[in-house]
Amino acid sequence: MKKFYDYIYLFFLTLCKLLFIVTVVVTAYLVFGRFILHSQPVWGEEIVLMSITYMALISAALAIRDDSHMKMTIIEFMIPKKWVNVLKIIALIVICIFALFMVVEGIKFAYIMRLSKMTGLQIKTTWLYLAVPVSGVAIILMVSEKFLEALGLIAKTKSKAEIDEENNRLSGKQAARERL
Amino acid sequence: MSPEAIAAILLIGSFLIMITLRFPIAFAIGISSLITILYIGLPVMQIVQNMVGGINKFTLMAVPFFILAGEIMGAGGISNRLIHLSNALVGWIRGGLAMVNIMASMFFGGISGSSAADTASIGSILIPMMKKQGYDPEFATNVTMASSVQGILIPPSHNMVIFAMVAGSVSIGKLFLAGMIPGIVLGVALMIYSFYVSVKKQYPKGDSFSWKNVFKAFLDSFLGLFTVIIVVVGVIGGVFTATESAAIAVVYSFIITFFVYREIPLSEFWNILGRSIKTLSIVLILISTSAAFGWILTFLKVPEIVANFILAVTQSKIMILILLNIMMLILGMIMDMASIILIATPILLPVAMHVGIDPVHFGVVMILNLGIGLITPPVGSTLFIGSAISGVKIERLSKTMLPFYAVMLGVLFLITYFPAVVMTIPNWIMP
Repeated sequence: MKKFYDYIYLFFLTLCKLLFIVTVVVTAYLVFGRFILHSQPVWGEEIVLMSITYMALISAALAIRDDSHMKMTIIEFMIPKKWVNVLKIIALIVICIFALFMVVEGIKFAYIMRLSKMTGLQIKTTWLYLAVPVSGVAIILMVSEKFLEALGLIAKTKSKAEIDEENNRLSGKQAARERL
Repeated sequence: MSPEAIAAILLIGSFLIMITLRFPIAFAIGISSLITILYIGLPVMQIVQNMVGGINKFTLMAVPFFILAGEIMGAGGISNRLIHLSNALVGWIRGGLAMVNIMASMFFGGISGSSAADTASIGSILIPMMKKQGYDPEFATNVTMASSVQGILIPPSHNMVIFAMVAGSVSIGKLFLAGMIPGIVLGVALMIYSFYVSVKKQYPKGDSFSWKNVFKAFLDSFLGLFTVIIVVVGVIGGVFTATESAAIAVVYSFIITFFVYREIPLSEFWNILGRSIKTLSIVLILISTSAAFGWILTFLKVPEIVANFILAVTQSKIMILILLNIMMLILGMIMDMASIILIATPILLPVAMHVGIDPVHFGVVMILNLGIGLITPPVGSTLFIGSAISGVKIERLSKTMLPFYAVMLGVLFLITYFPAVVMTIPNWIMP
């Protein structure tokens, strides 16, 4: 089961990386076109914006697995750890409801937008708004992993804070070793 | 009570409850928007439309590009070069390594624009070195963390791009220029304090000053520092837009790192992309849901209500600035920077503008306030990184940090009440 989630995560991460590369390459080409070729492709800006929209929304699911979304953790100092875990589960349920909303309303809105076209790419605006339900599905998948972890059915994934702390300690030690 | 007032209370109240209960802020914003829109009876699809509209902006592209350029340069060995350059420039002064730390952050800020990245890369090299030379671990860590705040003031700063985007009609070029002097003033103030401590504690000096060393270190790091020149000159000179200059910075830093410096293999680029996406996965969704939140705030006329309330209490510019600073410092202590910029700017900026504060001036004051928040407990991301690198406990760091807070508050006072410190350069270059 853990492997399944690893593949899902890897798939979305790779997709985001590829979209990011497209964004950088096309924007750089737009600059090149503007200053050197003195003409810019009409599809350029639209493809950049579409890529970043997909990347932005899908990557939100990645941060759920890493537990790296910004949050106010002040309450952790005030209540027992057991209650913190309860709050984590409640938060996951609410996120899941919001993700469901993204799927349902995202599809509805994307369907409405079939009537308009993106002028540069000559495709329906539906494709742009489909980023919302796709992201909703990705979030639900990542949240389901967290649920299974909380129920003890699969091994816990290290949070970003835990990974960062480990890396920082390692890099500090490595730097110190290099100095010696 | 009018339905609009109840809706406003519902929006802000549900949001505050959720973030207090440790919900991810991006989702708390989205859910409170959803609850409110259901209460008002507007179509819920407005949220979907605003979420996409919030990120579907070409200006916003500068944010991911600056973050990627910073990651590439950071991974490619620029930190060591900047430390060598700083060492050649200020290492000879008493407390040399503390000075080097501050100056390297000044340079590094121009490349990464992130306090956390600065602390992680400069700190992991300099904190162990400082400890080895006899500096107190607390002092070494505090210098690293305090100086890293320069990074978010000195251009290019992606947080300033976010502010400009939320504030609307604020020039990114002007904001970049406005952050320069406060960033340098903060560095100089920290250097003066560090010199005082170093003399008192007899911390060592580095090698004596030599123009030859400065020239050599400058040549070695020039190609990396040129990224800042591309961005700043390009944006301010009106040659490029912020997004275009950021894209050029990415391509340029890619070429310099992988084909000139060649300290890391090309395959490492894939990992750099992954690290950038991890940062962006937190920031972009926040921008997306905040767009829906901001739309409802405006629909319910919340900024107008808050402005009227504050202005009914006082009309004095000085008092309002004190009030805004206190509010932003408190918010900075409990929430992360990008979230506050996105949520508080539409509410607080109209108040500031009503009493004649320039939005650019307000933006810089806000960024420094929130920058201080990054190194204060209980929620200071930079503080956590500093503690993890040095191994000094957060409680101990927070206590020993007090004089640094005082220095930073002094600089905040200066830039708040003497707008000329912030506005002279932007008004001069971009009137």
